[in-house]
Amino acid sequence: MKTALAVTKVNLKNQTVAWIITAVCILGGLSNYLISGSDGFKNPFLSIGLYPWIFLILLAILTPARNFRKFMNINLKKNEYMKGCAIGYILLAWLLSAINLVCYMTIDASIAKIPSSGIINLLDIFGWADHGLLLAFFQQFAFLLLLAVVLHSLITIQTFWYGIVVDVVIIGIIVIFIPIAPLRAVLKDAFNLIIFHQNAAVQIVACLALSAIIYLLSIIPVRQKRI
Amino acid sequence: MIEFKNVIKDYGKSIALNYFSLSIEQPGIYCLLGRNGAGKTTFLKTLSGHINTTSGDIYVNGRAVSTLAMPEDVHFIESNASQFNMKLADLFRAADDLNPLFDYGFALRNAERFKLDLKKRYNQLSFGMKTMVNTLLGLSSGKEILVLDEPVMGFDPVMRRTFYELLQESCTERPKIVIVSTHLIDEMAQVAEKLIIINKGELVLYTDMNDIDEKAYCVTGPADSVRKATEGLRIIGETKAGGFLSQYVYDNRITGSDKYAVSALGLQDFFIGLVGDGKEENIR
Repeated sequence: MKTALAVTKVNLKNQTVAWIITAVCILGGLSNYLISGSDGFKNPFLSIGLYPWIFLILLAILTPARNFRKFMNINLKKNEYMKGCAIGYILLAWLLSAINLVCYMTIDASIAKIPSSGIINLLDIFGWADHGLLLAFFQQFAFLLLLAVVLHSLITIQTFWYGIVVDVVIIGIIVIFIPIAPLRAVLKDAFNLIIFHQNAAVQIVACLALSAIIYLLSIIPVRQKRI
Repeated sequence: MIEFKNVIKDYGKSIALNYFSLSIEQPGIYCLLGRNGAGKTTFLKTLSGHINTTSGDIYVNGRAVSTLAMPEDVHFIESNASQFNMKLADLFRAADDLNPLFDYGFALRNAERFKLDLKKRYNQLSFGMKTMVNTLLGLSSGKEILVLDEPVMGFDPVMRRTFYELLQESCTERPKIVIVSTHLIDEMAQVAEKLIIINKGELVLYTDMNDIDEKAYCVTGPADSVRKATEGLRIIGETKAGGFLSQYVYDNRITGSDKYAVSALGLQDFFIGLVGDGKEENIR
């Protein structure tokens, strides 16, 4: 566990690109606040609580793309790498969910009181806030974890033939499923399950279960990966 | 203990290892020689579980090696390996956190010895200094088997000498198998105990360094006299100049005479004779 935590620490420390891009986006978001504020918050704008999500997305892409090899060069065991990454994603999903919730309850709530103000937070868009703040926190956490795991796994398999197959399948699903009504319904059900489900518990369990399955499956390409 | 059993590794049409078999049992410094493209790096990478073999088996301490089961006892160090762009002090600390066997004190002591600035970031270092950091990470790793690919690349002569001293000290302090792939043959010969020569993916020679000193020699003189003297011996190469002939021999030593001279053969000449474009003969 000590080694896995060290992996998390080293990985988070060595994400300069992700830190810079996230910082720039947050600064952009803050300036958007000022601009919208001068306008009485009438133009719709994205909640500042969502900007840190960029870091999680970049972390899940850059860790397998750039840091995996460096960890191997320092002679880390592959299973410790997987454990360390998992801890990082869980901690970050937890933290980002908390940050967004705090922003939603404070900044967004005070702006929302202004008549005809337009603030966009995914807690409202996805309907998570309707289930109460505690459940919304867990729904958001589970979704963020799934997002990180899917991105991490997709990047990990890119060096294998089946990575290309998965890419083609994803593009195929988007291209073929959307125009055809019955297939579109299947796609809708899938998104409903992981995002919009009326029953928060179902959405949370579905996201956590999918995260676990995908992450466990991604151990196979990591173990097969050439260095 | 390392064991290669009939290992084949191909990259499409190119065969990097061809029915390669080798067994290493004793701790010590092993010098790995071979021409460019001979299969040295493939040998080292398959041993470390960084790449898979096409067929055949590799065992480290009795455990099969593959990318699925990278051996825990092996640390492979590439001279140009990329590392986290951290301050060196932080990089060594990270290595210590990530590997319970890592000898942090040893790493710091030797970083000082090589005049590495611990406040500098990895990417700020020269190529030679980066290589030294990679080598230090390996030597401090506490692993039973160290695999070094071109560890002195980019080193100046002073650094190279210090590196060879460090290698010997490290092995004396904590006996381990160290396999060093290099092109600086004669320098490595000063510290290596055993020699492994690979050519075209095949094991050409695996022997004690002392064996080379005893059995490898050069016979020079008029062509007829030399040919007569070396008849029945294993000739690994020859050069001609006018009516004179020099033959490189790897066999029981003969004594010189007034018709021909017998002289010691440097490891580099021995290697060139063995795997160069001249006469070649496999010795096992």
